[in-house]
Amino acid sequence: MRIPDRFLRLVASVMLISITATACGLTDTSGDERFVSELDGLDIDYRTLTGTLNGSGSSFQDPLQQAVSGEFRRVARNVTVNYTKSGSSAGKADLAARTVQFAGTDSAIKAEERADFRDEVLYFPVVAAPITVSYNLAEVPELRLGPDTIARIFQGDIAVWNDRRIAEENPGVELPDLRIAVVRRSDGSGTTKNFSSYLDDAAANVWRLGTGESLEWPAATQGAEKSSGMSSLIASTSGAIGYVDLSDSVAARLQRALVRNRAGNYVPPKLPNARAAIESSTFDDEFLYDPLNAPGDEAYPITAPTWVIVAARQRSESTADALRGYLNYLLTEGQLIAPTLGYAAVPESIRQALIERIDLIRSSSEDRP
Amino acid sequence: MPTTAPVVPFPSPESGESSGPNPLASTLSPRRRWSERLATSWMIASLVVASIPLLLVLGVLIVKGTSMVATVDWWTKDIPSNIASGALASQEAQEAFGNTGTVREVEVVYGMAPAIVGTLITTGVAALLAIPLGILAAVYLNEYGGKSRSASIIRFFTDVMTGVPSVVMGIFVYTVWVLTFEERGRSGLAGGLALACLMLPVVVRSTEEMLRLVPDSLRQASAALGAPKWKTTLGVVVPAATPGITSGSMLAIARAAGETAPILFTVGVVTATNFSLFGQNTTLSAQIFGNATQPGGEAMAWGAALTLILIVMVFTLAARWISGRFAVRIDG
Amino acid sequence: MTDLAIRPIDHTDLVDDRNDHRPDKLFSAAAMAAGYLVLVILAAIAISTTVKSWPAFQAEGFGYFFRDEWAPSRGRFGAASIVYGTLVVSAIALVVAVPLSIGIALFITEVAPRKVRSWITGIMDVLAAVPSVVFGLWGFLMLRPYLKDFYNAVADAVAGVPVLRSIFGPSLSGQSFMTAGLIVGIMIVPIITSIVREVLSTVPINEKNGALALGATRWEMIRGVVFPHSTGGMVGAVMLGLGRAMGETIAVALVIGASPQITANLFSQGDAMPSIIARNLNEASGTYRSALIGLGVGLFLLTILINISARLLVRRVDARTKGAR
Repeated sequence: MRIPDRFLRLVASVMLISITATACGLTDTSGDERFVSELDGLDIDYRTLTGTLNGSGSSFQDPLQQAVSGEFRRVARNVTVNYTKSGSSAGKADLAARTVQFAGTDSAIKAEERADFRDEVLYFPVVAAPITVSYNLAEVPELRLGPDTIARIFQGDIAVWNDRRIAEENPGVELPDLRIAVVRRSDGSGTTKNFSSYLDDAAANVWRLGTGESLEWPAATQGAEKSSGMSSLIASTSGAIGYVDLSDSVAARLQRALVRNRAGNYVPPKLPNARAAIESSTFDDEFLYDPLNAPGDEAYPITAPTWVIVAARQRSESTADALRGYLNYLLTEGQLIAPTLGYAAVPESIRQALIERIDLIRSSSEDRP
Repeated sequence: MPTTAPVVPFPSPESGESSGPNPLASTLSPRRRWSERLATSWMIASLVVASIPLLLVLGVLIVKGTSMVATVDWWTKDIPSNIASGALASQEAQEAFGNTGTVREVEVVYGMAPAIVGTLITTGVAALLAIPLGILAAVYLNEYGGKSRSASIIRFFTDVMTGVPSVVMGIFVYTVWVLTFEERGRSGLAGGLALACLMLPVVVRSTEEMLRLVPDSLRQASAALGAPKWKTTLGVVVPAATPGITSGSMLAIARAAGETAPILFTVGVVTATNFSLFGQNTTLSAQIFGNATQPGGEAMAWGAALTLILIVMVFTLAARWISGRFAVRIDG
Repeated sequence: MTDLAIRPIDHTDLVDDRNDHRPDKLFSAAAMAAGYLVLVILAAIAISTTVKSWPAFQAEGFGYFFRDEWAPSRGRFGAASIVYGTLVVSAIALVVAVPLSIGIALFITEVAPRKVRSWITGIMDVLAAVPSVVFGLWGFLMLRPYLKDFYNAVADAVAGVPVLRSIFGPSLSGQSFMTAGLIVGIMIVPIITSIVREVLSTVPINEKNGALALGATRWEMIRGVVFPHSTGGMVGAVMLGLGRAMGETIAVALVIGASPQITANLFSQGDAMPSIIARNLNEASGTYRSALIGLGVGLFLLTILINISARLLVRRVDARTKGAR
């Protein structure tokens, strides 16, 4: 009444083979040359870095963090970087509690939360990306919208596509007699916050819904969870319109509207225009800035910023080195990876200044006399 | 009622089935005949309707998942973190971004090794915890508790516990372990704990059933030979029930391996293989859930689903085979 | 053990060695502790989750399950729409699963030849073994697009009929209560079938044969003998299925659309208790987290109550028929 030996042996050999294969695959010893990016940065040999860097926060920059940390692992074999997209507020809280070494955030630390941080916090605006106004109208290849029109559409004042106010901005375009299906986020989101902040500023006389991560949308709107939920809903509904990050909109093959910026030009939500928005914004000493409704001629007015924040003082020297290395990578090679994912790299002058700022990260042991 | 009664073979007593076509069929009214046919059609149709989704699911898995799973990379390499880059590495997407120049090559190596290892670790921990404890509890219920009040209560609530949703077990371990130990608490060990809570009642009940089938004559013979009760239990009764216990445990393991909700709250997520019980990990079920809605992640989700089904089926079929092969020998 | 069998028995084997009772006491104590572990765990679940969800109950009152205003970012946690979603999905799942399960169970016990029986139970076992996440994946990627077209076709067909058009309205993405209900329905078929089978097998054979001998068709025999004997047990089986349907988390999370709302439109998006917990617990903090755990407490109590009633029903049927023999 025992399990027959042959069966046991078969099971055992299968397990043995799979474990061996796994072990072999994991001891990959390819390419141990020193990596240097095309862009100038600090002189760091990534191979000497060790340790684990944990980060959490903004889901807006999560695709970037995943891609960059994956590439980073290839050149810095002894460093593991983990990023968890738990939301900007959770990221800031984690950084204050020192459970992570860096955090991703779409907004600055509020004044009342400053006290939670024992050390000085350094902001690194690594990328920015356009928030597109994506729509689904097969017969309308190009759509132009000004901030007032956008505000009216999203708060329900304009209900059909061939409304006079949309037609005025799009002379010569045949707009269908179709109900507008407004799609918005049902979960709290920084994208909603940025989008509503933009409308609150650019369409101040029209926009009624205020600002925030989640708004009191009119009942006729459709809620979708997460950016991917929004883009798939827009893609499958004719006549839909919503606000979606550029990379999700492109991945879902949506149509994107040209938005009229402060200078009066209708610009597309493309990366050169996002870069123009960053360039025409003013940075303060801490490198905080607001590219929404930027003044530049070619600036795309709904460009959303995001930062990596770190504590200037790290506990150990190896953590400080690893952190400097990762930030250096983010600000050199990472700036080349970012555009392929739909994020705008920072202008060269800002990037150089940020590279120098990396040196401010020190370990507490280095301060001791 | 017919006036002449034809000779009718009497239905055999031990079968629960009717003995073939009704010999009085020719005398049925059309209404009765039709309701009989309708009823039988309903039963057969039910079986067909319930089987179709199963066949569709398995079929789709094989068609969509095999190309991923049948590579060495799948079983050995880390989970790729550049799937989004891969999905966007087309001329069309890069132009939409406004990027000029050649499209940057992105090589996405589809690997699932971390999740396979994670599934084995969490399920292994759960099995190591739940099976010995479950057998011990079943021993109490059958050998010591019997029909006593406390044993009946335990038996009843064990049954009730099998119906507790897995998400509740996940919340339980989350509140007790993860919230106490913070992010450090997320690990294969925590996931194994949650799965063990799920497996325990199932193992207890199935083991108890098996122990009950062991004939008393074995126990009495052992006692007559002077063995103390614990020796009888461990040395005679449990070994006699081993095939049934093994089969029941393997079914419980198969169920645990497929669970997702408890894993989501307790294990975290990684892209590199973590062989340790501590530190974050990931499982096939969590990967399927995460990749299902990610653009470009669908192929990985199908592959992970196929891998998971393979593991679950291996355990399920092994359990059925063992119980079919050995169960008969117990009576005698 | 073998040494007792092959060497001659002498009187020391038969004498009860009173000095060595400790292993026995230890073992039985350990076994009893293991037995009580189940109760301990259940109690621990109840206590820990209630404690952690207390802030939400304090802030919102116990009635927050019945208020309809779920806006976590503004601190509003009225969960009525989520409870509604759970109930609707479970109801649809039962409507789908019960006729199928009873049909299959009857087929197994009354119609199928012995050889076919093990094949059918095999199919049921395999169906039960498919993990929820795999069904959810298939439902989301494969079934949903077809269902979306189907729903919109139905919605167009009944657009003129007053009551029907509210129930079968248009569907934007295929994610809906109905989709979730259909998939959960298929998933609970094995458990309802297996319990109904057990219940059906307790029907006295003599009565069944008696009915057949009197000239009843098989279906008439089932209606006249089998059903009356098994109603209690079948209700119990259905309730167990209901409990399982309510707790079904991942498959529902993938296809219900994640928009908590109370609407009669079965084809519209919605949300359910376990699914909203699964999607948001990791990122929630403060009162939001407590509110989600509170939903978990509610779910726990609900499924425990349903399971207790169901088990009592099934047991009573068992005892009644076994006692009558």
